[in-house]
Amino acid sequence: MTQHETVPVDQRWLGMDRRGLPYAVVALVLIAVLHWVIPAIDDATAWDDPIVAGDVLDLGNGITVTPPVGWQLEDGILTSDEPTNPVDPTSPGGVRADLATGTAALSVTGAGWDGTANELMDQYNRLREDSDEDADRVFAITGDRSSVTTASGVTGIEESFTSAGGDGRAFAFVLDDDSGTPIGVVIAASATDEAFGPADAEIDDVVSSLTMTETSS
Amino acid sequence: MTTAVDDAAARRSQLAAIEQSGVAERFHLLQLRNPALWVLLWGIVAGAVRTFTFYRPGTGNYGGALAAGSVTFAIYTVAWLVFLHWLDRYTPMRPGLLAVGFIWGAFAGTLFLALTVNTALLTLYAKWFGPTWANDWSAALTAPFTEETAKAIGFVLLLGLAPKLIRSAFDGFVLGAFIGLGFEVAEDVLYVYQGASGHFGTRQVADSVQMIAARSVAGVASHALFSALVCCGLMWILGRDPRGRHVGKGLLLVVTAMVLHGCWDASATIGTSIGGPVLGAAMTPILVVVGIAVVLVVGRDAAVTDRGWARAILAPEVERGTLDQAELAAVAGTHRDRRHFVKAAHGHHGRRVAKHLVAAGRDLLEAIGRSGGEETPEVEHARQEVARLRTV
Repeated sequence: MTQHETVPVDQRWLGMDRRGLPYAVVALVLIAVLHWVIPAIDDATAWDDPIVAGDVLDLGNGITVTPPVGWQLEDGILTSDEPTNPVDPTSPGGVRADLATGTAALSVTGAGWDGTANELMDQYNRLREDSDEDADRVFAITGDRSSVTTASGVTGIEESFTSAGGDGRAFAFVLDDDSGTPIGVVIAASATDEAFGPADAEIDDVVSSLTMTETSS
Repeated sequence: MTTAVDDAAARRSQLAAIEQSGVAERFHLLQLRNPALWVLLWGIVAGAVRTFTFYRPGTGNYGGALAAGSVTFAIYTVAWLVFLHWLDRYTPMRPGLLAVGFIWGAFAGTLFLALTVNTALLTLYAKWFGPTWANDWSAALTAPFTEETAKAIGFVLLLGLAPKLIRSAFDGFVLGAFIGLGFEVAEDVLYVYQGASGHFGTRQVADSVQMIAARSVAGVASHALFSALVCCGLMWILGRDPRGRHVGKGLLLVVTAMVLHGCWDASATIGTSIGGPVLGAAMTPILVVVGIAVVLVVGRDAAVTDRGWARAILAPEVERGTLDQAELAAVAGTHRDRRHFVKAAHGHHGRRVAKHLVAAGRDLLEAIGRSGGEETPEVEHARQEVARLRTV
């Protein structure tokens, strides 16, 4: 043992250098707060922002989708909101909204996209295969792709899959925003307990509501 | 004419300054009986593992962006290191200590602590106040608390490991800057990596270049600056600077860092709320200017102790004729003192020699400090360099 490792007898506690103990304890307490306490509070806090009749999700630049009533809005801006920074699907990060109900979770992702809806679905699957989230990465396509058309006449692609939670459905669309920029929109739903159940029909309604609304400006 | 009494007094002051500054102390990381070491190692190893598991799955899709971000910000780090080396010129801290601070910031601070708690707190804000409010304000009310704490934990642990080496507010300022720099670089790489997923990952080159440019500009007055203020403030709060405990000043520095950090994270929201989109866009340059102004004032005040130590350490060299008073004032003075000294020299050649003399004086300062005031070959060589430069 070198000289710097020799701890004076009166400074030892269980053989350790007690002079470093206060710093270690303070650090451990702060680490515990950051790494366990705050995440535990988050886990114990339920979402309480249910969608009500009339709510419409703003995907930016005139593109909207109507979420199912009663689902929890976990991320996303409504057209009735007044965010300081407007939603912009052409921004580097694009736009995202997340919704959840008892049996399903649904995400809507929008970003600039130059290709077709089929190519968008291919790219979406490619990204999922290398996702850092196990829940996203573990999935298997079931069946062939089919066409789906929204109430406003936008035609896209639907694909079914099974994932860690159970059933899954993904939809890819490409539509022009209010400035004529093509925007790719992916709506993906995953069952959280084997099957969608009543949420299946609500997912169809969400997809059907995707539309491009001409803005007044 | 100096007397033996003057020489002895200068020598006593020199030894006292060396002792008080801890400049001669070596940094020993592996203090196996120090509990602070084990917490520090746990944080760093957990951060390194988290970094690996976080990036590994995405290397197939975003490997290019990850590589581009890593290389660019490695170069960016070198530029920062050159600047921080210049900054830490009075009683320089041990490189090993600074390196450990950097590593804590880069691994433990980011992916182990900040990413975990930020994700939780951002979600909590959305649960409490709704996604719209969270979209505008949650980042500004999360990162200043979580990230500054995550970085400061590393500083606290290093205080436990190297109490004799971290002895002044300026030491806190410099070590904090290194911890913050490590955090900043790791966060920059993370942003480039995440930014590459925009446009469904199909415009990675353009998105990465845009993100690298934005983060490089913002990084001028970002985490390194915030942590320098926080750790300097902690030194004042703990009363570890020889000038005494100044809790109010310390708290002011910590709060200033957090306010600046919060303003950064909500710059567009704040700017747009006050002055519309124009001010929203102008907030970044405004915050860079404000941040630099604050750090200049704080750094200048924090360095008063270290400048005093530098003067005391070099004072015997004036007595023995190695340096004159003007040179001592330039070497141990502020940037302005050095500029005045250089400007006072005659002609281009004279100013060049003056600059070299100041640099050689700083080498001598470091050599004497590191030697503990002993006569060593390094000290003698540094003296000879000063003498040689006078004859060039």
